[in-house]
Amino acid sequence: MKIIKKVTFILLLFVLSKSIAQQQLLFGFAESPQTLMLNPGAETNYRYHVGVPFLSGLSFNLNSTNLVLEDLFLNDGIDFSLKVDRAIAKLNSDDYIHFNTKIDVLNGGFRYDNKTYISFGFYQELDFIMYFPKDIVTLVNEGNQPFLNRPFSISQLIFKADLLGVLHAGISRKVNEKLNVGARLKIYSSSLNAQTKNNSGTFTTIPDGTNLLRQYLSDVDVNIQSSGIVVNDEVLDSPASLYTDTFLGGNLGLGVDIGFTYHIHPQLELSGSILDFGFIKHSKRVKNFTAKGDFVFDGINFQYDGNNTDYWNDLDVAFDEQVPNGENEQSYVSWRPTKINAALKYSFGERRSKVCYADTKKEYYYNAVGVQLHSVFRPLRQQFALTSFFEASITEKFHTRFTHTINDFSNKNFGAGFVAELMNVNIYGMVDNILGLTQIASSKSVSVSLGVNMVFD
Amino acid sequence: MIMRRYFLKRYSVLFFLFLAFSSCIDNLDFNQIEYSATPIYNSPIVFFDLTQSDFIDSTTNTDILRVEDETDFTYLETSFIRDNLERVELNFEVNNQFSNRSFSFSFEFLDENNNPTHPVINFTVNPNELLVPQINPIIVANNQGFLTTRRIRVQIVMSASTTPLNPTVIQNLSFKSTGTYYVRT
Repeated sequence: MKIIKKVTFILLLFVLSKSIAQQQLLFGFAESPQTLMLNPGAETNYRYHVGVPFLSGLSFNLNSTNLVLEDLFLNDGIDFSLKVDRAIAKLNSDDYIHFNTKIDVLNGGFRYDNKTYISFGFYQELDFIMYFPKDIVTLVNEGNQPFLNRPFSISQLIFKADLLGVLHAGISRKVNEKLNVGARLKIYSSSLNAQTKNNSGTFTTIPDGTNLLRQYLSDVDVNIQSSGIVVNDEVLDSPASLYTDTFLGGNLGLGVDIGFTYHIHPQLELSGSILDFGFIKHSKRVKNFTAKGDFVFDGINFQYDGNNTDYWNDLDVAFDEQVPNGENEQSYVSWRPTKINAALKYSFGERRSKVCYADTKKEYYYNAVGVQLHSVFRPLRQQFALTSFFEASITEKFHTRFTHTINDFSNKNFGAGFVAELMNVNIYGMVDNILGLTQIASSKSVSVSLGVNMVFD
Repeated sequence: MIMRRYFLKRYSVLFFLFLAFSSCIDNLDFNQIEYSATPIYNSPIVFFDLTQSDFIDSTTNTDILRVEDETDFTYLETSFIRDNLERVELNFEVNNQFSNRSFSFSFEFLDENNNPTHPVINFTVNPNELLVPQINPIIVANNQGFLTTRRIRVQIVMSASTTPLNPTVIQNLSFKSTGTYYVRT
């Protein structure tokens, strides 16, 4: 496939999302051990838990928006190139694609005393976000000739890709009957990172100047950082090492999760958490690209002075002087996408009590309603989602949750999930955007999470 | 209460089964990826402004009737352009403010061994004329050799006259050129 095709397709496939990941729908739901990963201050009422390796927590999110599969692939006889052109026209530079998947390799926990629960584990995460660089795509796809005088912006180039392993240990502690707090320390090991944002600059062609056309590069300041991709000046060709390096072999970082659960009233619960407040220092296998400056090009100015001037070389030299560019191996810091969750939950209906660890009993209700705010810091801006939910326990061992999420771009995002306890096996599953899942062709997001854990009271 | 639970239970099971099996992507066709883009790029090539002094030999004070200059030209070295270029249109504008001399231009495309890769483009601008010559587009399919172009040479021949150029009388010859590159991927 040719370069333009590659560029266009990569961009289109990576385009487009305006909704945000919904793994957090599990937040505060039915005391599944995995809720500790969303709120280290979640209440626990079991003696210990062991996650089934690779199955204790799986999640997958792919969000797409303005563009859906149907737009490009509907079997409608319309020329494919025309569909691509329409798609490009439809998308804006604040459209993006976000892809995230997490696999819990190991997860476990044990009760230290009546008030304290310790949990720990290791998971791998792949996270990718890229905004649609509309100007660059348009320039590549249509050229500069139809757009004289129009500045093409380089600042729309924003992306971040991470492949990392996270080794973590957390503590959830009951302070009193009303308050439970928790924290989790995380050691990140990044095997791959690539990021760029805060770029600036424009490229403009005007029908003027000394020649018939003049081309400008103005205020260019581009910095693309990467680690784990280029090794010894060659692009990494053994993806296997990307996975092995996630276990403390990559670039290391540190982060924390903190959270709490507070019972305002026996039936009213407020909970909140801040996740992945942390950073990674990239110093191994680093390769960055930078360019900065201004340049004006009118063409080659022949002198006819008989000096055999090497004009093309002079042009290269002038360009490098005025727009210093090149690669470097300087270490850099990447920030984790910090998430904030807060939920208010009102429980009602049939009241039950269940036996917990150490022969204590916990009272709970069969039904609950609530609202939840989720926010994540993304390269371009902070994103918000507001979720209302209804919980119903079908039996003592089978709990369901139904959600409705509103974000900036969608108000009919319905989700559903369950937590089932079969003997000592705790299984949960959650899907978001059900309407979309049943009609993937026209769906803007797909989000699924599930897990299997062994829980012992 | 029992009825309610029974209903909810059945409802939940049906609901999840529905989710699991109802994904519908039958109406999509992923084999239709036959994408073609036709971008058009343009860029300045060569320009110059010459005066009467450029056509006078300062040692002998005689007219120089023929001058030439050349440059590397590496646009066609990039594989993207080489693989996808369909057509090139050249745009020239020549302004001859010399009152009694015409100038003949030869615009040449050369490979790295200085062999021509395309027939020489010739045009003549008369005294006091602004010329925008119409040049036939270069169709790459008709001349694949054009893609080996690595140099551009512009030769100028001034018409001879019995009256030599006067170094004190300012006269200008300006030359502008751009290329428009039609690409199909």
